[in-house]
Amino acid sequence: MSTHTYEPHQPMVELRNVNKQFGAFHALKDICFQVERGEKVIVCGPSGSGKSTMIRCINRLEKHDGGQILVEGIELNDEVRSLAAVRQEVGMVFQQFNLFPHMTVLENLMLAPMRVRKTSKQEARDVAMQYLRRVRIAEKADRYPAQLSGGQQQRVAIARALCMKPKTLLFDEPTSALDPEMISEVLDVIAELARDGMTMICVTHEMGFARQVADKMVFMDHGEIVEVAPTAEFFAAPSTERAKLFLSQILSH
Amino acid sequence: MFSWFRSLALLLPLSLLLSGCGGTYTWGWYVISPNLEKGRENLLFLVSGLGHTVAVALCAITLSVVVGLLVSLAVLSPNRFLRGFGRAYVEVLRSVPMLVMVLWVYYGLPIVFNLSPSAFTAGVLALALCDSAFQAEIFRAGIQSIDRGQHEAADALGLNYLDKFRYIIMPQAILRVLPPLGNQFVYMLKTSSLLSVIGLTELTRRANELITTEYRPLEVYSFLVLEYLALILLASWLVRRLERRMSARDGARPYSADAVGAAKPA
Amino acid sequence: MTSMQGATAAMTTKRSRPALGWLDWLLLVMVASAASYTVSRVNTVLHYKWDWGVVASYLLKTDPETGHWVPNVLLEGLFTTIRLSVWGILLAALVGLVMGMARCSDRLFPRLVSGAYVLLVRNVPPLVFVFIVVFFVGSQVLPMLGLSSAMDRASPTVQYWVSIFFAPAQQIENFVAGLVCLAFFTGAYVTEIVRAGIQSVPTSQIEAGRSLGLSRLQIMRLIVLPQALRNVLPPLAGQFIQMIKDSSLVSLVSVQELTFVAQEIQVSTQKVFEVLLFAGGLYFIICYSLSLLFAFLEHRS
Repeated sequence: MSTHTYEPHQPMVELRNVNKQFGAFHALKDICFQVERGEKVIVCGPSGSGKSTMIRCINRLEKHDGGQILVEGIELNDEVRSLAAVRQEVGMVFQQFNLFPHMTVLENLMLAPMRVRKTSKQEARDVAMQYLRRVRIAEKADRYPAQLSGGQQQRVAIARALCMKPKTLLFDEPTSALDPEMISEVLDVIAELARDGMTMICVTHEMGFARQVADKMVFMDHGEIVEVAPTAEFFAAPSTERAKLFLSQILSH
Repeated sequence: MFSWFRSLALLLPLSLLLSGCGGTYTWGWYVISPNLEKGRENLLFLVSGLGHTVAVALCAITLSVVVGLLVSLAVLSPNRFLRGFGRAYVEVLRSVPMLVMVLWVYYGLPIVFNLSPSAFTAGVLALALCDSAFQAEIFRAGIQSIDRGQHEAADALGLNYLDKFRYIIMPQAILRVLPPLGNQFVYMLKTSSLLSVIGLTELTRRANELITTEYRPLEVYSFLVLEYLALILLASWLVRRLERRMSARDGARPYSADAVGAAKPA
Repeated sequence: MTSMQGATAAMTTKRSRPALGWLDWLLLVMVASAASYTVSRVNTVLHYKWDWGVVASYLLKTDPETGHWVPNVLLEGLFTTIRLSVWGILLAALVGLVMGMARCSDRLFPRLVSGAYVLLVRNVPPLVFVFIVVFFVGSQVLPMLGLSSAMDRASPTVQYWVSIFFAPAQQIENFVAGLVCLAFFTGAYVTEIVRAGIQSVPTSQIEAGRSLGLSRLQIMRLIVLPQALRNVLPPLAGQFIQMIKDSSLVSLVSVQELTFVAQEIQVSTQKVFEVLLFAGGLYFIICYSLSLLFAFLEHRS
């Protein structure tokens, strides 16, 4: 914990030569990149490029095999306390929402603040309602997740992550499991959070959305970071052939 | 339910027909005829075993659920020794015949622990021991059937191991475990008949006792079958009703309660 | 993303486990204390003298005439259990297959007969079923068929082979009665498994067969059953292992299999532990090797 210092220019999230293998499959190869405070980073790339694995390593849903991952200067390793500290600071939104089906929307939101942050029930409820209003779904507070549409569930999942007041939010393909007509309601909410200054790392195929919110684009292929570039630059003139090919394929429809 | 009644309606004349083919046997239903004093006495005697049958099954299932849950936690534990112990416990106890277990507990315990359990205690212990291996598998299957995303979401929110189990995994697993648990109870009701061997006066023992005095095995056994049919059909009906009520209450939830319905006494 | 996730799912099925929690320590302590308590009771308090020689002497004996080693009662009991199991599995599979097909029949009568059969057997304790079948088949039907007397009249060669594959002449009636109970008892469960297996094959497969002009029996034999077999193998394995354990029940009607013999030895020698532990161990070996065999079959198909 001695590394936990607040230097003025300390990156929010930093990956140094991160490697990850699944058996013989090399999922991440020497990944290096930084995310500054308040920065919005969009990670894109073809299927199987390691985007999700990378983002899941950042709050240790996957363990990396080599290199270092630092979140606000805290290194992620086997130590339980640093992991707990990191998970309180980093929220995650999943592709499949992963709401708890046996709890109402409100209970889903109140559980972690009460059990992990030890806030009072009243406070947890107030915070929960505040974020539910923010994602425009306050009227569904007492419903069960299965009674909501996919888009509504994902907005609840975003509110659940926000209730822990994280400094960074990770999005793992937040709209991939949604019907097309629900994608925009979720993206609007995320874009709004982005405008409010939340630090974000988002894996997505929605290039229009990326162009709108991202400060920086990260393009991955075969487990490597192929290109990191400011958003405008990336879309105007990608510097690598692979990124060009990817963009032409994904933008052609 | 309705097709059962139709089956029964067919079954009874069929069995009478078959028994007639035996030819040499003359029926003597008078032993359990409700019209005769002696018959009524015998009927009451037969039914008097019901209490022990139900009580032994209830006690045994309670004990085996507790033991089975602990064993399933051992099987899922991060510790290698505990995991090994849990697997060995399940594998060994699953393959020991219930009858051998009953004999072992009843004749073995007095020697090891210098306590002579009553037939009831020994019976509860033996049934619970054998059944706990199946309960452990049921709980393990229930816990493991919870989607990986639920673990991940709980982890990502920073919940610790215990809170994750208490608030996220167990409440969902319990619902999936209930139906096979109910089936297991019905199975216990049936298996408790084995305890007649060590002299527990339950339904089967009563029937055997009556046979030794009345020499009317087929009549008494036929009645015994009816007793068990009634008891077990009633129990499984209750179990299913409970199940339906549970799933009605949780109708809003996106999973079906019989997700691990396949887990059963192998 | 799918291939990536496939790889992820495949590789991480063994979820990374957290460090030991208090629950694990609690369980460890419970296991350790239960084990040490048992050991201390057995060893120090009661000075129980283990005598595994008893088991050995009942396993093998020397033939007084030829001086060769021959199996003694315990080993004979094991063989009887194995014979009961093998024949029982075959017969139960046959009964289950026929009844399972009847259960899926379009006609009412086969459905009712098999339905009644399953209903009766599954809702009656195994032991009661054993008593009934043995009293009915054993004491009424078999004497009528004259099985025992036919065996007495048979030539020594026939008697020899029958005793190898089934049972010695004087025990044949008991053996057959026990076998019938086991087969028909297990058969009811197999019936349900077969029915579930047949119903797991999509109707479109049957329609495809019909459109090719196959007969109903051909559709069953060539299309439905082969596909159903793959689905029923795991539950079938469990059921057959259960049957081997249930075979101990026929000891109560004097079929001289493993449990029967073990109990006789236990009564005559008072060596409860050695004998019953040994018998339990034998059951474990049989059941476990069968489950390994089925795991292998399942893996291959």
